[in-house]
Amino acid sequence: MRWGMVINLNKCIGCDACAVKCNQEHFLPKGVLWSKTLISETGKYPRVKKHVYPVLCNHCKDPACTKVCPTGATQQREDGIVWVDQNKCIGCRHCMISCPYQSRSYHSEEKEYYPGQGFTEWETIGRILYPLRVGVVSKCIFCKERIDEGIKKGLKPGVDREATPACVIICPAKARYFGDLDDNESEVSKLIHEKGAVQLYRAHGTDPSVYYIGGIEEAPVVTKYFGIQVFDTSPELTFKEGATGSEENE
Amino acid sequence: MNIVEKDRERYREIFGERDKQKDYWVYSICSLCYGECAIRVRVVDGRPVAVEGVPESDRGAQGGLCGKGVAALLDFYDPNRILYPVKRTNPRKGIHEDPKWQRISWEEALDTIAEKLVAAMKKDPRTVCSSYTPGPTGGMRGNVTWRRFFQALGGSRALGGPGIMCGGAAHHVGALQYAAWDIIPDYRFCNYVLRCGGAESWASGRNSRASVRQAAAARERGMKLKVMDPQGFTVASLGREWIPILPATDIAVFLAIGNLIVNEIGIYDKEYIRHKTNGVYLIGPDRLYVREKQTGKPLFFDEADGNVKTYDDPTLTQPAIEGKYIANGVECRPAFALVKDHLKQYKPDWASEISTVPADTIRRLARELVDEARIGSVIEIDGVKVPYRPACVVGYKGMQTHQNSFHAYTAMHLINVLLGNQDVCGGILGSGVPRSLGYPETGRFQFSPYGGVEGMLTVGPWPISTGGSMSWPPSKVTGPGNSWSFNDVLGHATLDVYTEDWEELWSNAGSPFKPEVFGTYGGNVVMNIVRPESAEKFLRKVPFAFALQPFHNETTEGFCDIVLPESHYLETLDVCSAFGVTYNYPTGLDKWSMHLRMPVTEPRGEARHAQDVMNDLADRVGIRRKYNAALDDFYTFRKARQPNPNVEIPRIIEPEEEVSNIEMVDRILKYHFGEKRGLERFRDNGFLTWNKKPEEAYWRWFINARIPIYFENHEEDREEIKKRAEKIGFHLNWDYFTGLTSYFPSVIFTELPADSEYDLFVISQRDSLMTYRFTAHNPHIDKVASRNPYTYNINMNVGTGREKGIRDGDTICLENHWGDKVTGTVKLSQLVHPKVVAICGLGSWAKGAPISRGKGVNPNALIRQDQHHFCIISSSVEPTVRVKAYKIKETR
Repeated sequence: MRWGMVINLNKCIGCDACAVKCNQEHFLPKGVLWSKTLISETGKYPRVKKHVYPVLCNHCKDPACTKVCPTGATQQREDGIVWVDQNKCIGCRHCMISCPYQSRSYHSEEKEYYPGQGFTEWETIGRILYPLRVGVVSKCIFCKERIDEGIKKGLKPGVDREATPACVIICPAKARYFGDLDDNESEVSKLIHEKGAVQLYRAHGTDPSVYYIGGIEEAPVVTKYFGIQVFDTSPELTFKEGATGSEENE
Repeated sequence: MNIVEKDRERYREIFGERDKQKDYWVYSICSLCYGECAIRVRVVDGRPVAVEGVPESDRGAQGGLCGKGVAALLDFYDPNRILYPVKRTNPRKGIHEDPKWQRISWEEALDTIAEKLVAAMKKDPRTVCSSYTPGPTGGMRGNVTWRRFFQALGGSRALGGPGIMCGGAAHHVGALQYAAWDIIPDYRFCNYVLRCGGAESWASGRNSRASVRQAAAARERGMKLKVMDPQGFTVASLGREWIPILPATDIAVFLAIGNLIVNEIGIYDKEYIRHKTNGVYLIGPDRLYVREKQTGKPLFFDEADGNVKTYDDPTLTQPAIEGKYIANGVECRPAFALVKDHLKQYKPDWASEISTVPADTIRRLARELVDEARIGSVIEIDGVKVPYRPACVVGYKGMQTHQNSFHAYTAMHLINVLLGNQDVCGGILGSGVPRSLGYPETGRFQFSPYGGVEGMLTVGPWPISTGGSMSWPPSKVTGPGNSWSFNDVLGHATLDVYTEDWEELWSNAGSPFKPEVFGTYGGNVVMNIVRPESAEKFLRKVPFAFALQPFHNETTEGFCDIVLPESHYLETLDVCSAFGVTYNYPTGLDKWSMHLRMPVTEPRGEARHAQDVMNDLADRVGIRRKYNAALDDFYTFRKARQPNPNVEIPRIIEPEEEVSNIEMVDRILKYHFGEKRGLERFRDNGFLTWNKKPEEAYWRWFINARIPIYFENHEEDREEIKKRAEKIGFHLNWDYFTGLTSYFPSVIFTELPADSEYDLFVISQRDSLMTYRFTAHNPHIDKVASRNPYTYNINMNVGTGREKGIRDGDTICLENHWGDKVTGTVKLSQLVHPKVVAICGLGSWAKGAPISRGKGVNPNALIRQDQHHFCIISSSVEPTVRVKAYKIKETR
């Protein structure tokens, strides 16, 4: 059993509902985002392609992050889900450097969503339901609490909404699928096989569990610290010299 | 017990037990755009904690939802919510003024408002003006709860309310040709869509997530999407082809395509023209219908027996669409023959020169449309045969909102007429669904378009009275003197009070009345329409202004004397988002899906439901009888054409009744769906669905009605309009009032020379997470949207930036020829036409919306409207403006 996800870029419209829903589902504090959309352009006017890649932790089969964690906080379950035990995390961030996909977030300080106006009830509820300590690393957990609770009730992740990751059920274009990659008859396995879905930057060698239909393996969006061009959407990187993507691709 | 207390008591009777549960789901309707998708909300310990779509419903994405709808949960907890009535203590009004709010009681607030309304009504009810828009939590309440109050009072509408891209031509032509508010492709069966300016199926608006879902499935199935748009980073990014075009020039491309189809390719749906349009009405040398002398009925030539007949002759079989005939001793031709000849002048090379779309592309698109449309084919659905035309041209917002909008939009729909794809399988459908044969168990909830005056298509589902009739028959000119917006002079078009020349025109008309009270609901008129300074000119003159809002914005802070706290939509019970005018009935063969906006909890603080507030005001002002009648007419569909005339239409609300909101909702539901399906049933089961019939989804060939492709009423009314309008100072190109859809360049190409230094065209574009400006105030939306390179920036073509020495991240100024300026950060992109600058409309400053302050740019600040910058037939404002761009600060 290995949980995996397929994202169909032919259907995805890049609306970011997945990112917002993930944020809501886990009561993520300000400054922490587990699900993002990376955007870039290739080509030259008027023959241009816009690339939109919704990204999250890939829950790699052979993750780089678990190998570098000094405390064992970052760990992998038998079903493939990689998660961080925040009680063990010391915030050294070696995992963030080692992750080829920059999937992780570091919670540096508590900040109000409405600065100067106190924490809202929503934020207070979040600290009870999904507490996240300052000074730890966190990331997408494939909504493992939904999966685990769902299985206890006899529900099937990827089929029954309640047991399926929030980003999958919220997608208005129905572009996301979830299921067992080790089951050749599962919907995700069939989609990967029939539609030629790819893993991003397979060359990193971590064997991601997230696949993209209509994607490019060497997608011109994935960020990496090892020198490959960067075109992220965060303002600091977008306007960095030579990192516009669009100019470099003429 | 007053009405509000009565409502709360009844709420507790119905929802009290539910609210005591620890963990429950509530079915409701989202309000973060006017798509109004179905939602369900999880409530734990009385607090909403999660929002998603409704999997079993076709109203929306069948379980999915957009980021705005999800994020809206945080608005419920927003510390900036207005939770009690406030009054202004700073007597100065103006943009950027601090109102210095003081908290007051509801009694004081309502007493004050009522006193002002009564005083104004005594002078002249028209001095009470209102605006509304389906705002951030207003849903369709603006159109029903708010607007009908002011109509009952005899007030007038001013300052629009809807945003600058609102569809003047879309709604006007939608009513004339589709008996509907707007249009949408039949994605379930469509194979080819040429989309022009408009982000439906990507961003928000009517049918929001339903169209995303439908279009995504269609693309997966192989539907070809081609997008003709000045920018390519929104919906064009989903398509197979992006065709860049200069703004406001689509009209040239459409006319050229029409010419190619009719006069070169020669394949078009003649039967559709023959039986479904006024292309067969005989036109004389005076360009008017030739009419039977005794009855005045328009005449056709019947090819079957060679006779001239009235349009309603039961023996009429094969009306001619071409040829020359003699009727009443006059030589005449069918209107389509005139259309066909008229199109000959519009050549692809000419259109290319104007639009920058290559002529070969125009030729190819014409050919593709004809090939894909399968003219003549038929499909059987549930045993019912309907025409099958799986190709269409669709456009909205950016394409149709221009100074030449009526002709641009009818030029586009002429192509659809030629393909015969209107309201048939695979083609273009009217949205909201114009025809319902009734809820199966009661027979109510029925409405249908029909052939009305002179056999022309007339709207069935909703009473149209938005400042000049949009539906058939057209209203006659009677003014000036009755309307701020001069629609009593111009026929359909409304020139709003914020224009640069309105004062002069109004003065020339004798200044029939002046504003005493202004009421605003839902939207943000200061920011939404033209430059804020223009709205300020009018609003400063209004002695008293009030608003009903859940959040402050630039309008309330700058100009309102009293603001009443409206309940957040998660606290609101309302039925008008489900009924009547809504354009969100699921389209095509998607099931009828009846939802209700249901509260997850009681309103916080002192916030109240809009319906309760307006009922209370109606009592205080003494218009309850008329208000009840207006609401009753609306909810019973009394004025709708009933396909089954035997269904009784009793009252839901008696004239003098002091009915509360919650009681009214219960009655409306039971009225349409039966005694067992009132509020309690919806509370327990969430919603109601039933199958749609092909005769409803694809009604066109089941109704005997014709649409105009020749606008004879324009020929007839031109001189009268011109006479009345010129008398008060309108000096316009009256040739716009022509029967034949024609090329008129937008004023943006004629007001400045081609080599002007103002060499760029600013367009406004929608963003998937930003629909109303209000959405920038939501921290969850902002958190994600700030990562999108196109959202908060000024988007400019890479090559253009290079020519001007502008680099990514520079701060630039855009300045128009009137000297108005905006500044912002540049994002260079390959997905923008070289002559275009694309901006998502933001740029707020309201103190009550701190998260959005200073984010993004307000492109509306560059727009000045006057009589030369709006469409004199359909009211569309010209939202594109020419600017020069220069750097004011480097990024490094």
